[in-house]
Amino acid sequence: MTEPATSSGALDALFGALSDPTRRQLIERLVVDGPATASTLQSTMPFTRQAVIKHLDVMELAGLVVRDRRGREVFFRAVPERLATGVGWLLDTAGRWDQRIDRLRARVTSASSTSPP
Amino acid sequence: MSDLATAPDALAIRRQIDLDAELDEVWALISSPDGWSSWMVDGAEFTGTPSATRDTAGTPDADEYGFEPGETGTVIDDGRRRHVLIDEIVESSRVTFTWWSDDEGDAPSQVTISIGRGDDNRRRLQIVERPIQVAPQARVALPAGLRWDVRMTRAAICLSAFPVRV
Repeated sequence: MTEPATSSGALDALFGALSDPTRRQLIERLVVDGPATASTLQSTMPFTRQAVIKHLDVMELAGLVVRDRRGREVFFRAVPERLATGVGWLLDTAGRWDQRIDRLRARVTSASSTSPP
Repeated sequence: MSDLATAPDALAIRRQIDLDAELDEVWALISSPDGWSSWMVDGAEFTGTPSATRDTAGTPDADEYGFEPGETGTVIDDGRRRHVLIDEIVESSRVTFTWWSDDEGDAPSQVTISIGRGDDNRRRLQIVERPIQVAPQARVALPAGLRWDVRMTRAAICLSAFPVRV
């Protein structure tokens, strides 16, 4: 069952898909160079076409790529909006830790200034 | 827990801070609900276990107990309720936990907070948070509003430690 793009399950799948370096390489290639067929993508990678297709399938399930059929060829296209979801998590999480560290620094400074010599 | 369950470093948030404080004080700040509530979250509530009540003499608050592996609870984090599962405790050294919220769009993640030696003999706190992938077959929706059942989450983490190779 396909889950809504905003659900935590979809975010799980997104990070799961991005956890593999080959898939990160593929998505980068599709973002930079635009839509490409599995054969085109495979031509620059040390994998079989079948292996590349399996990686693309994982990324399609995560919403990172969509496929467009053009005649007899199938082109894969990156979905940057999905990447933005992951980037949003990273930015949000980073911002929260920055705030927590500010509070921790203040907490420790306050404790040391009030402790007896 | 295997690192295979978590995202790689490229998808992790890392922070560190050097603190001019004693080890016991820093440890108390990262290993108990009261410690968390003083800086990390707005509030923390853990049910604890009988064995979780331990002697914390020497810490700023001798009445507080420290976390134990497998302990669960909830925190209020920036106004949001998050569920917490304590994954690992290495006394006076490291705390690892998994947390997740009921909010849509929020992924479960694993946090490790460790204490090391920083510059000028200070305590260095290192924090790493990584999103974790939970196997779809372990996803459960609970009527009580919990997105995940904690025990199923732990099972899911174990499952996701054995990813399908493609």
